[in-house]
Amino acid sequence: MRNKRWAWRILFLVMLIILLPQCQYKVVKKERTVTPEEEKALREGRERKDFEESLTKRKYPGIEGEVLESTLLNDIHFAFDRYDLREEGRRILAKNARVLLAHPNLRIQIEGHCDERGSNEYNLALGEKRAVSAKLYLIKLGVKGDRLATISYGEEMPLDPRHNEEAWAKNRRCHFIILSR
Amino acid sequence: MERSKKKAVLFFVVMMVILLPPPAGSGIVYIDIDSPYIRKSYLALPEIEELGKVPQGIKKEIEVILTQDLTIADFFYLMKREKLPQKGSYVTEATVDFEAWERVGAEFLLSVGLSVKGEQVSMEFRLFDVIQRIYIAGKRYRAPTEGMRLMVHRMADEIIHQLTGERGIFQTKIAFVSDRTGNKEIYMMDFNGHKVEIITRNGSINISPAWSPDGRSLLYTCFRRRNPDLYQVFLSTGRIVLLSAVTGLNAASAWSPDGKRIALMMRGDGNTDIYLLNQKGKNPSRLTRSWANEASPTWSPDGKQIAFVSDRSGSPQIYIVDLGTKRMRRLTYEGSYNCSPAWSPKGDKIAFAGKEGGRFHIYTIRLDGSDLRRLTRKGNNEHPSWAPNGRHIAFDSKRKGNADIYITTDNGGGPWRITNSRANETESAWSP
Repeated sequence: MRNKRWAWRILFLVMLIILLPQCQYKVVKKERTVTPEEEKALREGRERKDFEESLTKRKYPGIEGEVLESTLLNDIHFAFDRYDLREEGRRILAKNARVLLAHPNLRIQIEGHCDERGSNEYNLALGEKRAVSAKLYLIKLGVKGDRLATISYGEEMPLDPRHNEEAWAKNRRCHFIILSR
Repeated sequence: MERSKKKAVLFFVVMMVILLPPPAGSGIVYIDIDSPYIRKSYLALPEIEELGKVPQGIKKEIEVILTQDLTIADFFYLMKREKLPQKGSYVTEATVDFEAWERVGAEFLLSVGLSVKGEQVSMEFRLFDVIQRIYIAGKRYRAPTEGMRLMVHRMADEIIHQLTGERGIFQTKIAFVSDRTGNKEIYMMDFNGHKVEIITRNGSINISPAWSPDGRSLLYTCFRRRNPDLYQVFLSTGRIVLLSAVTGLNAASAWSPDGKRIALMMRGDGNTDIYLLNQKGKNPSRLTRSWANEASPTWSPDGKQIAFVSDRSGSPQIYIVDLGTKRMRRLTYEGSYNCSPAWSPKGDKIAFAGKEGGRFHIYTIRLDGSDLRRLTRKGNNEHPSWAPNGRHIAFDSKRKGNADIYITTDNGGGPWRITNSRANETESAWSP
């Protein structure tokens, strides 16, 4: 009984200490009214708006359905006949992961792509492996695996159709599309 | 429907009439194709004789088709015509002057006669072994004008069969992928690039055509449903069946020689493995099990083994698995990138594409890993496919900038370019 009363008193004191300066603050500087909660809400609103603005609808020719692309979900790139993530790829995936964690309803598909060299069938397998590499890393960063579908397009969807090193480097990539949100 | 009806009509209209009792040499093999010392023979093919009135153009067209067939057969040096004897006559067993032909260096003589009556074209040939002085064979064919091309191919097949015992390839088809509409669709054409027909027409990405052993349908992979799914299209009716649509790859399919199973690439645990399905695309069973990527299965002609690509050694190489014992062995050791294996219908060799000096070339290798041969010299060459005779190989090459389909032989003959468009023609699959 005694203990409980003391506990109430301490809690009251603590509340006073926390709330009093803020009351003062409010009284003194009326124009600066942003609480941390509000700031967080504001930031989230801004982020939501940024995210909305980052989206474009995309229809792939010959493929059913319409998907979304976001400029906030960036491609990662690979070396020839490799599927291991490079330093830069990991950095980009970390950014992509933040977007995914901030928008927990997003379901995305990770597309694995290859350059035109080598057999297109082997490249289908390689593209799959690239997509899975990205997926596993996103899972490691806390994104739930059931939000991450993968598909391999092999060498069938080059970004740059030219036949040179520059084009090949662009084409060896994972691309991220939004299936639903 | 229209197409199949037409085919059936042609089949019955092209008639073969055997002339005269079988000649003395029937059943003999004149050119031993299995001999390691095979060399080309000198074939005299004098100008086609008009046995009656022939409208302009027909003779020329037949000459072109027949000469192309005999060239691609890759058994002959076609002799220059200026020096040939017995000009201006259709040479028969009664009139042949063997000595005169031998004198100009001919080893074989092929005499062809042609006549046209209304819409009917009649052709006949006489084939002679000049050195042994034997009349080998002679036959007559008749067909309506629109069936002429097929008739000439049939005659060329007969000539090759008479000389070598080999089943000719001149009536076979090649399925392939072309992006001439702006996307990849499956097409089919005669072995020499004529009569191109579009098979799929869905505007999506269609790849990896593979023939059923009966030649009536093709398997292919299409991305229409935002997943690489396996489809079967029946050529006579155009009917399409979705065979396998497991999430992930259903790709690079290959029909077993008995038509009862389909080998293909499917998703394993985070990587691609080879699976077997039944002919309805159901009951997947996993054939390979590794952390590596496996691709491009091809069946041995007895259906007991499968060759495939695996990067388990760190680079793509070709392996063979025995379906009975499940024992696996590596076939290729040279080079850092070997892919697209194709098992010869004769069973003795595997053709594949391998990287050498930054470019891909077509190779053959024996099953014990010996006798590695490079068949191509120029350009970037990929995706070999055997003709049913086990001697010719179709492949695609980017030697002229865009990809076209070429034919060579297991001796590196030719190569003969058979498609010629500004689009990319790839992934040839030779019909059974």
